Amino acid sequence: MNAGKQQRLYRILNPNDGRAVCVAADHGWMSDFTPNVAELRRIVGQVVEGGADAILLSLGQAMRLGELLKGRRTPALLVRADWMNAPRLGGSNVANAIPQQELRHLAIATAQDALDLGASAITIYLFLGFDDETEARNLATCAAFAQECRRIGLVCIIEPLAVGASVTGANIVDVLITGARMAVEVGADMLKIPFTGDVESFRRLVEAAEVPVLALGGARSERDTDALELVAEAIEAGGAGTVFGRNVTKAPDPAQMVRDLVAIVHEGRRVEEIKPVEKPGVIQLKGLTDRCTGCLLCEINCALVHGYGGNPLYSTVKIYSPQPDRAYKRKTIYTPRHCTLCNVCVEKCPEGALYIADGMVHLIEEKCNACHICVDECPLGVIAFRDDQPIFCDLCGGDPACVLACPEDAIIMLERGGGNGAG
Amino acid sequence: MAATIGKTLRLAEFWQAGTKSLLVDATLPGALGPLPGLESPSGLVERLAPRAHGLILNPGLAERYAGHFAGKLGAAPLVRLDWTNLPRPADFALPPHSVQRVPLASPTDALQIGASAAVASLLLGFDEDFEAANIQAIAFMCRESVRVALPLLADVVLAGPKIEPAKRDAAIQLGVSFMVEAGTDGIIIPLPAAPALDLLLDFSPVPLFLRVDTAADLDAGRDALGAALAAGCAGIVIGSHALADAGPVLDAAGALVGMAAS
Repeated sequence: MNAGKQQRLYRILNPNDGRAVCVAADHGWMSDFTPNVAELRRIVGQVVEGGADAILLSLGQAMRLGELLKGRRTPALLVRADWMNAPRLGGSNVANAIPQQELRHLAIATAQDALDLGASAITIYLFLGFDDETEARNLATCAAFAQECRRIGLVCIIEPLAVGASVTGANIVDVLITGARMAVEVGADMLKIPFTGDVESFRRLVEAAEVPVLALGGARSERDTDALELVAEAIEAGGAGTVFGRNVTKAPDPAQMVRDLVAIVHEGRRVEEIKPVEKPGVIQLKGLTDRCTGCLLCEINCALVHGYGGNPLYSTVKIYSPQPDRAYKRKTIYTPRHCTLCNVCVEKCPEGALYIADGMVHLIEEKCNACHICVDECPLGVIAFRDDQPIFCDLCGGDPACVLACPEDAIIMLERGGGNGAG
Repeated sequence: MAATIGKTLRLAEFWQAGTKSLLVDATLPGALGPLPGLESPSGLVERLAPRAHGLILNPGLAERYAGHFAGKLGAAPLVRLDWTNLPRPADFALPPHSVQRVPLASPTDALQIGASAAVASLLLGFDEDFEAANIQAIAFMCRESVRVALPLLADVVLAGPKIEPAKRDAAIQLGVSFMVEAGTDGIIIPLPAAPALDLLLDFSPVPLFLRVDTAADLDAGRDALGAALAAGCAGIVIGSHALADAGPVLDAAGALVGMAAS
């Protein structure tokens, strides 16, 4: 690695631990005009205040907001050197101002342009799972950037994304690992890549890459702890840190979110130390998208064990499958959903008939007026309803029927705040 | 740093923070031929340049009639860098079968012509290839405009079949967001509804100019335009179709701009 790259790499990675907390704030360049785009200046200021190691901006915003990054301990500048329309694909998103149907991805700058702005690195996408021509063209673009970065001493970060038609829940991990390796083979110095869902598979990805791997967060998590746990698992797997976007820029307090990430990535603190578990319980469920085949045995067994004749309508575990996306032409991906104790039902119940204890939601039957609000408001749709009463997951007394029924181990049982209770 | 001050000085030749500007876009004859009021190339420059802060011309006229500008006393020359057949109606002598947008000049060319700024179109609402190529072209122009220290204005036009009337304001916001992130130095937009405009004015670090295409639009939208200028828009861009009887139109637009600036 040449001296320029070496110097700039350690503007991004903390030299003491080789890790980084980076924030992606380039969404306005590719997706709708959302509040985190409209208020970018304030958010970037808070990211700086939180102590991020680097921040990713578009070239235009880098020119205007770069002044916020002046200083010895401020975030290094990462510049997005390409443009794509992936967030606007599909017509079902009502917030999509001008929907697009087919992926387009183009280089819009040179690495030299980014270097001229004072950047330490550029970031470019590598889309996987689309047609052969798209993949080859995209890889060639990545290779061209990598070679220019080599010549001028700029760090090249490639971001493999598995989103095309060939990507399924069954192969997404393999696609990401392959993409990671492809990126390194063409010259990536660092990867920005989705977390694969579990420590073991992400470790395989990290080992296949042999360059620093930063896990990205994707859409904003329902709870900050979910996002932080993702980072903790990425670090456990050998990852070099994170590039979080919306989980920081859409957070109520971006500076605090960055501080929490720094505590996990650089200080080795556990999520429970930062965000103490407020809702005690013994076990919790975890659904694994990459394993789920959508067979519905979990739903059927749940309803069977609870005396509802195996009718999935009355199950409190649900297999979620998005509508087939014409834009991506992707095969169906299934996600097992279960109660996460998000507390929404408790907060929304107008009668105060719900409370959380022992890791589950409890109903005070005499208070319930069968208004159905908890069912309607549940963000995951995992509250069933029968005989004028909501039905909540009771974890089957510690031996969940869904876990027992799943032939793919796509729903597992964890000790709350600890290791894998399923052994 | 030199590029930054260069852009600042050139931008100030037709607009400064806290002021309002009247720009005139006389480029449509490039697609539609001699429009009413714009029949004479030399005449249009002589007639319009003293009436506005900036005059947008295609590169050929900007070069040929550079001597007809009134220096510091008249409009600054702004050069349009691209051409499109979008304004052609179906009954035009050369009816369009597909929308086209091609480059006419680069920021470097515009600088050599003596322009104070360059203008490039972002035509939204068309297919993926068209949009991607348009955005890529503007992004590359932005990079070049930095190198040559020439301000680049983006002209956001909502025209394609993907534009839904119910999402018009969101589409304008998307266009502005894209152009800010691309690195343009000013943006010309159609007038959005007040709440959407307020959001844009809070967000945009670059001046927003409002496009008025016809004299009727100016007449009907006078109150809304005045309010938008008072809210923080940088000025008005009068389109070629409004110049058939340029005198009253420019008087009215000038009065709006003057009132907002005072």
